[in-house]
Amino acid sequence: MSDIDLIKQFKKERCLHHQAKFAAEFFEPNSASKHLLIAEPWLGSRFTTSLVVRYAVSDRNAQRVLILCPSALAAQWQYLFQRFELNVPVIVVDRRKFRELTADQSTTRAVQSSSAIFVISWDLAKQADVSESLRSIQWDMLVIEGHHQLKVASSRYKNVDELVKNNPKTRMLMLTPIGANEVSRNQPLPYAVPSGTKTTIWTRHTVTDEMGKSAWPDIKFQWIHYRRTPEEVAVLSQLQKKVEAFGMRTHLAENVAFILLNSGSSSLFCLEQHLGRMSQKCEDGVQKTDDIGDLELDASPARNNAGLDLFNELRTRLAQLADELRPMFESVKTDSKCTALMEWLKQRYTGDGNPRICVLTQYADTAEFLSSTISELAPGVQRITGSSTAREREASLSKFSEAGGILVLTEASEMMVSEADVLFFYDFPLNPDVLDQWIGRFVRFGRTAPVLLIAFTDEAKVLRLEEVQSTILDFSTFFNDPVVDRSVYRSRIKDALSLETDVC
Amino acid sequence: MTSTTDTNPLFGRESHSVTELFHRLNSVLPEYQQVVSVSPDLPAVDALKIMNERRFSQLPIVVNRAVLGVFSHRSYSHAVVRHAQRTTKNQKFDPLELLVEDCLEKPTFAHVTDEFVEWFEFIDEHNFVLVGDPDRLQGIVTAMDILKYLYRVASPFVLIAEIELGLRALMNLAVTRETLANCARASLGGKYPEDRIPVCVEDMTFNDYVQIIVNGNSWDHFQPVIGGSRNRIRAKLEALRDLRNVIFHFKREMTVEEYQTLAAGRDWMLMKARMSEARQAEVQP
Repeated sequence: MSDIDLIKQFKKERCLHHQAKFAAEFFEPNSASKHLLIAEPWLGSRFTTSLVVRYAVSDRNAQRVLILCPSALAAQWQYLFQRFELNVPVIVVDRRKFRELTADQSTTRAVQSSSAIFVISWDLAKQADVSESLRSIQWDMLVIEGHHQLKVASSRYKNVDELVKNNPKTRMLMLTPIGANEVSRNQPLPYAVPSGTKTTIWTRHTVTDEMGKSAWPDIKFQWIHYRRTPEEVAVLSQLQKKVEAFGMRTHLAENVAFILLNSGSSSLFCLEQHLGRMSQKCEDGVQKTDDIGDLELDASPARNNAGLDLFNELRTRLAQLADELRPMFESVKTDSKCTALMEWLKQRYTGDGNPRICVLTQYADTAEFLSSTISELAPGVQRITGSSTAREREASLSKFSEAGGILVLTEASEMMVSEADVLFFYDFPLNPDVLDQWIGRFVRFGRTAPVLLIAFTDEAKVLRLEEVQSTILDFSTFFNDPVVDRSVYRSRIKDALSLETDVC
Repeated sequence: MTSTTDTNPLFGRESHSVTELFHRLNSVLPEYQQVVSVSPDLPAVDALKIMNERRFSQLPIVVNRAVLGVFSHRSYSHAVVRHAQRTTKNQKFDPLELLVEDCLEKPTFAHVTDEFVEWFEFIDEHNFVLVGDPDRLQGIVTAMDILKYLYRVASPFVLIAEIELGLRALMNLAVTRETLANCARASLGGKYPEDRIPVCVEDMTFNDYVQIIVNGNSWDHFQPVIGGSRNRIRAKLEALRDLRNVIFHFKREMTVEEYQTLAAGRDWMLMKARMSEARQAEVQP
C-alpha cells in the first residue's frame, strides 16, 4: 500500500492529517524501525499509537505487542483498544495476572503461538522476574509511553535497554510529552534514545492540516467573579490556618496540606468528604499497609518504621482537624462557586438547542456534588469520573454527543470530549502543564467553531492558593509563548504556600 | 513483522477467564508481596533477625530458585530441642551456632488457582502455605492474608447494611409515620402509581429515601436530624446510593477511596444517630 493510500486509510479512522501522516511514515518500507514521538498533550499521540498498533496487528501480522506505560495509564490503553474489534486479546498485566500467566507453563506450551497486546506498567516491568520474562520474548512491536522518564542510570532504562538489545529489529514507538522546552530550544534530549531513532515533534505551532494551515481553533476565555459567604470564609480561613500550623516540613505533610487546600477550593462538599476519608484512614488498621505502599516509602524496614510513625502522626492531626471543622460544615448552607455556576446555567440553559456544556473538575466528590445539584435544573446531566466503567463512559459520552446538554467529568476520567462548545474549568489547575492537558481534551484540532472557556475566581480571596491560580494564564502556553519557563510559576506557588518542595 | 513461537510463560491465557471470578489463592496473595528468602548456610540467628526486622514468621530457603524448605520460629525451636536432646558431656550445644539448613522444614506448595478453602487445615497447622512450585516460588499466603482478604470482601456489605438501617432509623426519628407517608406521596408520586407508593421505610428503596429527604418540600422535616445543606446532603446520599449499587450489583471492584467514602459515610450516619439520641434524651430526661 502506498503512503498516500495509507494516509487515506488512517484518515478514515478519524485521524487528523498530522496523525495519519505519522502513522503512514511509521509503516513506510524504508522508515527507521524506532520512532520517538514528542508531542504536546492535545495532539493525540496515544490515539495515533493505538491506531498504529491496531494496523500492525491486523494488517502487518504483528502477534506480540508490548506497551510499557505508567501504571495509571494501563487501563486507558485497554480502553483505547476496546473500541476496535481486534482479533487478539489486550491483556493488562498486573502482579496478580502475571502470577496466573506464569503459573502453569505446560498450558502455555500448548498455546504458544497465541497473539496478544500486553500492557504492563513500568514499575512491574522492572521487577526481576517480570523483566526476565519480558526479555525472553521476541516482540513484534514495542510501545514505550513516558520515554522521557528513562534516565540513563535508572532501572527502568536498563530494563528497556535490555529489551531493545534482545529485539534489535523490532519496530518501536516511544512517546513522550514535550518537555521543559529542551526540544524547542534545540538542546539535546535529556533522556536516552536508541541510535537510529527517527524523532517527530508535534506542537500546535508546527502541526498543520493538509493545506499547510494551522488548525488551532479560536479560544475565548472568561472569568466568573463570585464572592464566598462569611460562613464559607470562616471554614476556609480556619482550614488555611490549621494547615499552615501543621508544622511538619516533609513532602508527605505538604502534599496532604496541598490536597486539603485544593479540595477546599474546589467545593466544601469535596473538603468534607476528604476529611471524612482521611480521619477514616486513622482508624482503619487493615488499610494501613496499603496506604503506606501508595506513598512509596523506602523499602528498608528501619526507614519504613520511621515513615509509618510520621504517617500515623499526620493521620492523628488530620483526624483532629476533621473533628474541629465538622461542626462548622453544619452551619454552612451555601456554596457560592456552585451558585455562580448555576446562575450562569439558568440564564443560558433552556432545554432544546443548548450548547454542549462541559464542567471539568479535579475531584470525583465535586463532580458528584455538581451533577447532583445541576440535576434539579437539567435532569439529564451526565457524569464521568475515573471510576466509571468503559460502558458507562461510552453511554454518557454518546448521549452528550447526540443530545447535547451538560457533562460533568473529572480529570481522572481521561476522556477526550471534542464536541464541547462551552468549557467550565470548575477548579483551575495550578500546573500550567495540566492546564494544557485539560484544554487539549476539549479543543480538537481542525475545529472551526470557537470554544468558550470559563473559570471562577473568588473576590473574597480567602485561599492564597487561589490568588496564585488566577495568575496562571500569564504563564500558560496556549495563548502566548510555548517556551515560557514554567519553573518561575512553580516557584511562585511554593512561595505562596510556604512550601519547601514542588507539589504541583 | 516476525511471527515467532516460543515457550515463554507470559502467553497462552485468555485475558478474562471465568475462573478468575472465584475466590482463589491468587486473590488472597498480596499484590505487592516481595518474597524474602534465605540461603541454607546463613546462621539461624541472622535469619531470625531478618524475620524480626520485617515482621515475618517464616522465610523460604532458596538456592538458585530451587526452594529447599522453610525456616520459621517453629522449625528453629524444633531444631533447638532436637539438638539439645543429643547433647552429651563432651559435646556442648550452642543454639547460636545453628545454621538455617539445620532448621529446615519440608516445603508444601499450593497452586495460585487453588481455592483457598482447600488449604484452611494446612494453614491452621502451619500458619502459611507456599504458592508456586519447587522451582518457582510465587508467594506465601498466611492466615492473616486470608483474614484481610475476607475482611476486604465482606466489609462493604456490612457497612452498607449499617448505613441503610441507620438512615431508616434517622428518618423515623425525624418524622411521624403520617408525615413520612405525606412526604413519600409528595416525593415519589412520579415514580410509582398512586396506590403503590411506599409509605413506610421498610418498603422503600435507598433511592426513595434520598428523594424523600432532599425533596424541597420535605427537607425542613429532616434537616434538624440530618443537618447540613440540602445540596451537600443530597450529593452525600447519592454517592452512598451509587456505591451501594456498585456493591450489590457487582458492577466493578471498589477503589480504596470509595471504600473509605463508604466507611466515612457510615461514621457520619453513626454520629447523626448519636446526636439525635442525645437530643431526645435531653427532651425526655
